[in-house]
Amino acid sequence: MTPPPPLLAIEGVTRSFAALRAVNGVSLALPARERRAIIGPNGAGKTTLFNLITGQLAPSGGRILFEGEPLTGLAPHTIARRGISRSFQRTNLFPRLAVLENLRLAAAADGRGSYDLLGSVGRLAAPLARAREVAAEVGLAERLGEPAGLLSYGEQRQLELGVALATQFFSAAAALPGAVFSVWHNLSGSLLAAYWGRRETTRNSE
Amino acid sequence: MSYRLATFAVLLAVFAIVPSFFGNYHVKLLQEILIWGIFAMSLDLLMGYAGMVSFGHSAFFGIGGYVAALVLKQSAGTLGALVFPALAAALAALVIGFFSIRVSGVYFIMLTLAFSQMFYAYTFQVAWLGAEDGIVGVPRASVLGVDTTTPWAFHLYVIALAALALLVLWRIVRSPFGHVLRGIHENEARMEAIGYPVNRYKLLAFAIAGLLAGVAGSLYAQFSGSITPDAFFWTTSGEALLMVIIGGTGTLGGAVLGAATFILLQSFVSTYTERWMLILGVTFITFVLFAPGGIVGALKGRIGLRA
Repeated sequence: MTPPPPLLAIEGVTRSFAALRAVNGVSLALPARERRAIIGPNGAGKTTLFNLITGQLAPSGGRILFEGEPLTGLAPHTIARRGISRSFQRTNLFPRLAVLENLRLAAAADGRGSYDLLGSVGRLAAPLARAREVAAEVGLAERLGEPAGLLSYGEQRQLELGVALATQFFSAAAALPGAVFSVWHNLSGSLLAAYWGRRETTRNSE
Repeated sequence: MSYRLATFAVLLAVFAIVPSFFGNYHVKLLQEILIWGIFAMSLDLLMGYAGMVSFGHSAFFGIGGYVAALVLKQSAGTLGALVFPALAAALAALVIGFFSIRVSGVYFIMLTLAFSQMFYAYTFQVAWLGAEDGIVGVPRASVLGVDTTTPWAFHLYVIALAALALLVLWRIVRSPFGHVLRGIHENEARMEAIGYPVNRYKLLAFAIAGLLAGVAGSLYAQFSGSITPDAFFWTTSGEALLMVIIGGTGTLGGAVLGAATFILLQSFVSTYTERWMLILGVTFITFVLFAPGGIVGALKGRIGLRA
């Protein structure tokens, strides 16, 4: 029996900043339904690798395939729409917008309806519902109206996870054939464990 | 909401009957405020909502004015008064925006400024646009079958367009599109990372703002009966910027209040002293230091509304 093709394949990816090789010939193959961690000392190139996967940086060499399709050279928003979401090392939210709006923007990022110039935001019910759902999943259901910038550091990390989760909504909801993949950058193990724990519980109880 | 609508309606009614109680000078002052209000509101869509501080918004005001002047002198109808100026300004905004939105911050400011000054330099020199004298003798038009050549009709026409511009922008900033713009203002890179083609949204916002600035420019040409290269000059952009900041960035209504403050200061202070710019400067500094949310921010009793 042949193993299933990897969901994400990184083939000899290199990224140089002038004379510095931040990422040097990295190859990885990640199958679906697996969780992997990338660890290493400061300056090892972990962040650069994540930025290469999600398109914030373009590789100097090598290629990255998601479900067999190359991602190399695509803009970050295109990669996000393929089903790859991410959190950021340093909190990267919309500080003056409410928690709910942070999540709603992420859940509405499929663009359907987002060019609506004269309609009202409330009419797009699905992203709003998804935003509330995610808020509950990451434990922020009580903080929906709070501007993200006023949350505590821990809550901001929860929201960081939530924004990444809500992003995956459209690829799942639009029933695109695509799989989803998440880069959890610098989220504490306990936060992720709590999130996965809740998900497993929900699944088992269904 | 209904309270707001009622205030809006009362305000419109008051504006509409101003000519029955005040002389020509004050009526013209009100019209000028409303025209500049449209221009400043269109800039506020960029500054206050999308976070794009343009220093070249005069380009679209000038294009609207010149296109209106050229067409109205041939045929004084709706096409010349509204359609062509708006479309020409929107088209110019698409082209200028295409290049400018790729950069942000001070580079965006400098690029938009450079584009607008190219128009200034061109109109200042070419004979077919009247060079530095501009185009004079622009007639008032018959718009959608309504003859705006009488002072009353023109007054109502200006009010109607200002009200329409405010309502349209009011809807836009509360629409899904408007919320995307706020997201871009807050954190452009994250918007890109969660899947929004940010540049497309910015370009569309730039074109809408350009279109409305073109309408303002056209109205100004009809109002004053002429248009000169000064419409393109950087001070035109700068004055709109001051209006938005004095009134309150990101509030729309503030832009109109800012326009009113600016124009009233200009007309009243300049009757006492030629140094009215000095008074304006002091006013501006006072606002920036003590009421960074502008007039609207101060009225709401919250400092730093969207400073």
